[in-house]
Amino acid sequence: MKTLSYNIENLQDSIGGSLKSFAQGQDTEITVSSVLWDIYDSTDDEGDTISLGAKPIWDVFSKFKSYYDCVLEDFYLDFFSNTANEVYRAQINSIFSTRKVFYSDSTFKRGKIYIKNDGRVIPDGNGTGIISSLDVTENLRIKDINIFVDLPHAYRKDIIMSIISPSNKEVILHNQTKPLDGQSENIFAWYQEPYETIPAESIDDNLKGENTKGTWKLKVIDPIKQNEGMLNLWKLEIKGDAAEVTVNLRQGWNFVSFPFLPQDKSISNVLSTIQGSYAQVTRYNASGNKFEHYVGNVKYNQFNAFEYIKGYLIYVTNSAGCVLTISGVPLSQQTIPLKAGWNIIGSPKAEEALVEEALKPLKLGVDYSRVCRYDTATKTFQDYTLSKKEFTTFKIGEAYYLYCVKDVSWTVEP
Amino acid sequence: MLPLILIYLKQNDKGGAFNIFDCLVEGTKKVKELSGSIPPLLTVNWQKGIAAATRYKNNNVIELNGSVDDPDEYDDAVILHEYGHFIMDKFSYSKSPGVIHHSNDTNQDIRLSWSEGWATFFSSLLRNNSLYVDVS
Repeated sequence: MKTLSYNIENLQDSIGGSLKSFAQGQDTEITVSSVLWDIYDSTDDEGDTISLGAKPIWDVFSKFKSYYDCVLEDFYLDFFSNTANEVYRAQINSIFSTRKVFYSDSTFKRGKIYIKNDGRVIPDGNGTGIISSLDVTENLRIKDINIFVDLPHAYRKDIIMSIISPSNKEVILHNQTKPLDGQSENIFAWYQEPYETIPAESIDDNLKGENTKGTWKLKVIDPIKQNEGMLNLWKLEIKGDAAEVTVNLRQGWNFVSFPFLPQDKSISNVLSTIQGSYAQVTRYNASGNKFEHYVGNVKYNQFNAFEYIKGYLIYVTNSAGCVLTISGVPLSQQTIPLKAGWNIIGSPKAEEALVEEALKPLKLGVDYSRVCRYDTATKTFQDYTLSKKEFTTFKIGEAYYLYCVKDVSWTVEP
Repeated sequence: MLPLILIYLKQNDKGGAFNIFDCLVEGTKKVKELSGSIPPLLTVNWQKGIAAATRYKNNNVIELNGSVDDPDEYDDAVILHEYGHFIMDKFSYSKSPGVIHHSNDTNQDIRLSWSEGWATFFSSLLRNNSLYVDVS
């Protein structure tokens, strides 16, 4: 007969080994239990100098009703929302610090949450249903998205429900399915993968990479007459990378690239926010070994639109400089040809990245020998070679000279 | 106070069943003290000699392992851990993914950690004992 035991007071396991040697943080359940125990218990030990009993813990716990995300961090925040608990802050901090609560590197990070309180009755026996709209102001490129729905209904199997993104992609969340074993008829759940209520269609497959900014819609239809329900609220939890960046441009030439581009990629549209502050846009045609220009005059323009990955020179006339906001759809994987000799490229990454990392799978010394960055402040070039590294990262929105030692195809991953 | 707990007695080993019952009576008393109300009806499915995955199954049902390899009917810490999940379901809100876990898992989903950590803490609170024991 074996016995599994451990002590949440001093984190000793059954064979006397110390659990302290294991990772702690809010992503281990033993940390959660031991933190709560330290707040509750009458024994003072490492980092623990309080004995508050069960009531203040229960008071926070029982507030975690319905719309909260329940994690240890929420407990911490909610504990101090009761100002009477403020006197314990130092002791609570000491306990959280000892257990390294906020120092762990959890694989789960909460995303940005947007909530829509609706409160409308869903028309019964109606094929049109209702559409609930929710405006998302932040522009992120979706890496993960979860949808919570609070929809009391007498008979869940009546319901057809879908989420519609700002770009009008529709994903069916619920398609007249009955509750799983143990579930009630009311829908009160996160539609997320791979946990909890599995949506009828994959949210991840359909919405990953989409931009978040704009109006999201939840469409709910109850086409079967008899049982009624209402949409109380729904919320989006979004995790993603920024799909918008601002670049400070100085008077004179600036090396710029575009990690995001709108559907209308024309120069006049993309640079509309700095209209009047620039005179010329130039790109380098490596195949023809020549510069090409856009001057805002159809008679002389040699190109009219921006492309991902390519680098551009923008000549700013405004003596105070200007701020260019770059937003839109992020780059997806693509392969571009690079010519032996000089090319002007942009970083393929949506965030600052090490030079050699950003240029992968190209290899320094094999595919390229030199990268140059133009420093607009000093108006000088900086080198990145095997022997000289005057800069180390590609910044988002900047462009660089790249010297290839041969013709190569560059497959870029955002 | 009459705690609203129902236990199915399917076999002769009433000792195990009554230990489960006893644990939950104490749990119910504490919840009444803390919340001022009695939890809803709870059903515990346990049968001596019958294997089951010990868990809170939602919908007010706890299942306990009755297998000879890892019987849980006298593991008060385990019984009350599952009771902690029931109380979380009724008095708080859990969005735990509810997957297989172990106590010192690293890189656990923090929602799962909260749910499981709460349940273990609540078990200790109800027994007034920081030691968590699972005999198998």
